[in-house]
Amino acid sequence: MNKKIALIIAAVILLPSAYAYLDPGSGSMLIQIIFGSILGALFTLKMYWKKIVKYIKRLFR
Amino acid sequence: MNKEPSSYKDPDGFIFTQGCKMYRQINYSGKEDYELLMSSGLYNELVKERLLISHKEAMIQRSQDCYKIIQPEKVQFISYPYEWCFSQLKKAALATLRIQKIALRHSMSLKDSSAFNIQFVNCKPLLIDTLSLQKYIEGKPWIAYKQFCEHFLAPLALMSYRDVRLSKLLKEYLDGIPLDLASRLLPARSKFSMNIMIHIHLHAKSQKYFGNKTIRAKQGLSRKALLGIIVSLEDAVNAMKWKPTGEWNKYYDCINYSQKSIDDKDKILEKWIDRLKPKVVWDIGANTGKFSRIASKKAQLTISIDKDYAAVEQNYLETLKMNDKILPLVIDITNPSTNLGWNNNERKSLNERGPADAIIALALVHHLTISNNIPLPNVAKYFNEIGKNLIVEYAPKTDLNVKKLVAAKEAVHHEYSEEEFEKCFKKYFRIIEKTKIIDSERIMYLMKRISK
Repeated sequence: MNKKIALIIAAVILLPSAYAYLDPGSGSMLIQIIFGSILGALFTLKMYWKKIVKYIKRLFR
Repeated sequence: MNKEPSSYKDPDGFIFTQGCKMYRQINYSGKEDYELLMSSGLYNELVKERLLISHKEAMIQRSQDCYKIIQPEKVQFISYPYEWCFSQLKKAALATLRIQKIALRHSMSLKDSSAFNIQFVNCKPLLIDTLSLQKYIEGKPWIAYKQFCEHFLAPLALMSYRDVRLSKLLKEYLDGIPLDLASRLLPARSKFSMNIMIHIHLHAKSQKYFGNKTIRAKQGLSRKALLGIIVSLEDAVNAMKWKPTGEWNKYYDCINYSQKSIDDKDKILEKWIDRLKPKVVWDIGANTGKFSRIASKKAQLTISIDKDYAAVEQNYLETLKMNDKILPLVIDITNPSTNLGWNNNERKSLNERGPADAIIALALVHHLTISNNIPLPNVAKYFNEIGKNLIVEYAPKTDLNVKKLVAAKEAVHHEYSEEEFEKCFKKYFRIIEKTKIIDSERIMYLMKRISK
């Protein structure tokens, strides 16, 4: 959990200089850009994980 | 044409009434998105899943800037997020995210995720704003993300982590609870949830840091990343829990009475509801909805009102299970919802959403008069304003529960007797029938409103 928080804090500190937006909701847009790729990757992993578990379960059936 | 006061934000169209029918005008600026909604198969899929309100195209006279007029299916009673219990807000949040996920599959996206766009029809959440779906542009972040966090995630987190009554903040903050406020109010332990940490705490910091900065974007948000955000929000909402403490069955003060009198009270209510044949019933002080369920056998819709979050939560979960025609709402009848928003005209007061065809006020008047110090004439006048017919129960001072209320009240309460009760109510109602509940001292009255 500590590693996760450190990663999030690092992302917030380091990434803002690279990405940005123009409207008043820029903070909300940026947070999506910053964490979108991490959450997207987690989602993909979750999907694969489900498939792997399903496959292993089938092997032992 | 009467334009709906709450329908002013979207330049692509608005709601209006003509006669007793409600329509939505779609302006030419909204033509492309509406056509995509209809042709992409998204409309059919959402309507089939009962996530989006259905409509038909209306052939009525239209102005020059109007592309089309549609007539949405009728929603019998409009409720607001600050009147919902925990599970209602949670269901509404999940429905919004489900709509966004399905929309993405059809290359569309929600441009608006206001909780006010969701209404409960047959106890399930339904998106009523047909124009809130727009074409999805690859790479663009979700424009309604901030609104979702403020309208759903922040209040749910506050209700779940801090106190369920904090949903009433939505009454003050009609555009959603500011994330910096939510972040300050949430306990430190909420930061251990990755999703709450990102979507509320860091989101609030990001809003503060980048609020006034003008910077150029180098890269957008891929479809997969956007889906990752939606799923993460879904996980956050699903993880929110609220369990009422205590036992629900303690709520009925008739619990002190014999089964015979409870059965008799049910029978009287059933008979009178059958006689009135009301379309819309308001059961005030409904607790967990025992009497609402009797009314809902005959009425088209029963609004089941109580101030207790635990009772309304239990009522909603039961309604959902049984598929009853009941809408449970958290409203304190001594301080009902008022007119709110722009020009005090955007969100309607409870009174303005009436009158109900019938009001049920069982085991309530003694609480109002003795505990809340509301004089009987005021109670009678209020019921006259909100209902065309009234089924009301009178409990005498010798009644066990009334005795308890009187004993708990140190200050002198207003005059309270059967004679005074009838005198006050006769000023506003005609007594159609009066009957004593078997095996008890309590009296039930069926009354008809004397026109104001």
